[in-house]
Amino acid sequence: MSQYDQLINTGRNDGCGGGTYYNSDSTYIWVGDTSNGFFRFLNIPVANGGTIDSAYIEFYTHDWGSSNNITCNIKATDEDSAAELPASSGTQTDPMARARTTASVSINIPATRNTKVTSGDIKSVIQEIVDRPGWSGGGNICIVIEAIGGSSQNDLQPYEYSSTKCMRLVINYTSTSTYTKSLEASASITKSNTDYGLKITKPTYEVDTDDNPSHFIFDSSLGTLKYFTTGSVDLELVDVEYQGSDSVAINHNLGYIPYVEVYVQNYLDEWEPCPSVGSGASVFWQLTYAITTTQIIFYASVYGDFTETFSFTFKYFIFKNELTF
Amino acid sequence: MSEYIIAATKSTYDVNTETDPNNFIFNSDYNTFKIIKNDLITCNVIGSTDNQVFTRAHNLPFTPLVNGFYKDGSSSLIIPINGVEVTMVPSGDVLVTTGIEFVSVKSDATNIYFTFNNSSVTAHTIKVRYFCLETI
Repeated sequence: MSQYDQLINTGRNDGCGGGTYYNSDSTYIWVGDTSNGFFRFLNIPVANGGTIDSAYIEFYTHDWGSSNNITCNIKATDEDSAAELPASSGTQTDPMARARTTASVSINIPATRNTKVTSGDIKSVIQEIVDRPGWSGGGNICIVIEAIGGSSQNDLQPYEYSSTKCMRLVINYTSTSTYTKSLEASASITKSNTDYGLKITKPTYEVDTDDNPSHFIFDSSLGTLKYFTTGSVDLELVDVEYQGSDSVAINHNLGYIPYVEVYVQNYLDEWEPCPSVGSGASVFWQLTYAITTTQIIFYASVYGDFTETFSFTFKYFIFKNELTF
Repeated sequence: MSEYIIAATKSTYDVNTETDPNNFIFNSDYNTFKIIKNDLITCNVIGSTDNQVFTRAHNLPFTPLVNGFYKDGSSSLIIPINGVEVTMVPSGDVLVTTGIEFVSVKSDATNIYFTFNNSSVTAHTIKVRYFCLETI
């Protein structure tokens, strides 16, 4: 079981009033007849729906002013978290017009001066507040000493008169104690100029410590060949007698000299890297290519003792990487 | 196969179910050709001499796979390594030849070797753009 034990701690958190006049800053709390006392307690750590085992208020009658034996009701304003009481005295309906709890506990205030008064158990009043759906731990409760008629009054000691004999609230409760407080956090990156990038090592190598580029599958600090497009082009040498050659070009439209890889299907229908040189029983061929800022040009030349047509297919792979000289 | 991968498929393929490597733009289960070194070397090739070798240290902790392209002087043509000098017939199809033949690029644990033949009497200034892509 936990306990909340708190005295009123500012003059603004207690006062009295009836009808349309509220007294915020007087040196007395006038209760009875038509006047009610209001006492606002802050930061009550009972969780929503927590069990109130017992609760009471404790205060002192004044050592001057009205001193009559009266009976009042103890209630609380029916709020999720009690709003502030008015800051100054004057004609106003707040807080008298605030709804109050259904739960109520009667209290007798004796006609003796400067006397400590302890209420009976007011757990039903507190329980009604913490059971409100909108209540949450850390909220505020405003206790009301409610006048129930008659023509007599009694004066209590407010905070403005005594910071030790003003209203005290004690709550014994069983629940998860919660206290909600808004916090602001900020963070900064102190090594803002550090770019760690992305690294993936081959199996068995430690990515955090390895610095051999050949041990990486990928390392964003190293460039890669950026594959742009591929295609193929045929080059046919028709009815070649002894010696023939020709060329064919494709446009890449990149506006710069790109990195290019080429493979060629040769006279024997085999694929091999280009440039290439080869020969058959009675033929010799040469295949190559050249790159400009606008084109890739493919060349073929054959020699031999024949009259024949030769076909070559060039398969090219163009990368975005630029060749600069 | 790894338990978790980073992968991106080509358009229209489902990255969660696709298994054909050709349908991926990237898949961390497969190695990539990384451009570990990208550099330019200028080779002053003298006339009428074959097997002229130009050496460049690669300063890598492995023997790299190297690919490259060359440009001869002010020519607009960029020629790949081992680009044969094709003799074009008839003359209307002539590939402009200058007598230069980019014979080979070789590498070992320390260096990259660029070899040229020059059948012409004229010296040439050749620039080679080369890429070290992976360990051999």
